[in-house]
Amino acid sequence: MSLEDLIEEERKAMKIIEEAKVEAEKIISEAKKKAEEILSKVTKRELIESRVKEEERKAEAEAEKIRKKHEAEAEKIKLIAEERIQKAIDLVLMEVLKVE
Amino acid sequence: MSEALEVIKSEIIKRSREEAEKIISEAKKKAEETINSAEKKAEEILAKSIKPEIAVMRKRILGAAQLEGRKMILKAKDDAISKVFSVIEEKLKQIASGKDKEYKYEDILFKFLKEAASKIEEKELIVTSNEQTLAYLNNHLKEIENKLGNELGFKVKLKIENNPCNCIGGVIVYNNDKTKIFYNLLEGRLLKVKEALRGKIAEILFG
Repeated sequence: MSLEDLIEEERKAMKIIEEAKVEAEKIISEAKKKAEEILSKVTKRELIESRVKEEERKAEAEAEKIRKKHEAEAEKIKLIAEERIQKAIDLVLMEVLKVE
Repeated sequence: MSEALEVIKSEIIKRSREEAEKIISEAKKKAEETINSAEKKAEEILAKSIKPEIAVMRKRILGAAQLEGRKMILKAKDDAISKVFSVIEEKLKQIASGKDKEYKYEDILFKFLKEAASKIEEKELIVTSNEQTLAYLNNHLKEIENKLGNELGFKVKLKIENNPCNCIGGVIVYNNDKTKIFYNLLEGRLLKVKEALRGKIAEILFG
């Protein structure tokens, strides 16, 4: 092996690095392009509408939970204990028939 | 010498490959950061632009659900209170017709008459009520007049109107020229109590 061989190897090494740099630039350039696409999409109506729809679905799910909670409360009200009803009846009757 | 050069040669290639890998790896990292930053920025722009729209939409949907729910609860409470009052109305009918032995309608009627007479403070009074009550009053007129006189401390002459009203029971009493009228009907009293005790009843039922 001679010194020329070493120089040749050095050339190959530099080529490897150059190729890597080109590849790196390509990667970065593609990423920038993708980033631009992402940012340009954001103002498009379809994306806005799809996000609003998504939020609407979330709100509807929350609304359903609210409705269910109130429904359960209303059902509980319907099952008032008989003694409470009787107490109310007694109170009203006493007041209706009372003369001061 | 040849062996030493071989080592140098392989070292050159190894280092260049390592350098190349580092360049690619840094480029990938930078690319990832660029995309992440764009996504974050996009999210911020989007959130900012649709924030008011979403707030209005949420308020509308959740507000409607709250309102619907509150209506449901109010209706349930109202139904329960109505149920109580319909039982009471039925009970008053039973009392006025003498079917409820727990209460003596004649005594209740006398108390209502006495209350009306004491408020009107006149010696001649006209009384009206339903057919059954008027029949009872007609049949016990003297007895009631005497009892009223004794309890009020002045003589009262009752005139029973021959025009029965459609009511559960109780009396409407007025003077001759109808300048003083005292409504003491059971349903009127019930209505008054219903308004006055609504809160208390709700407390008993749902408290």
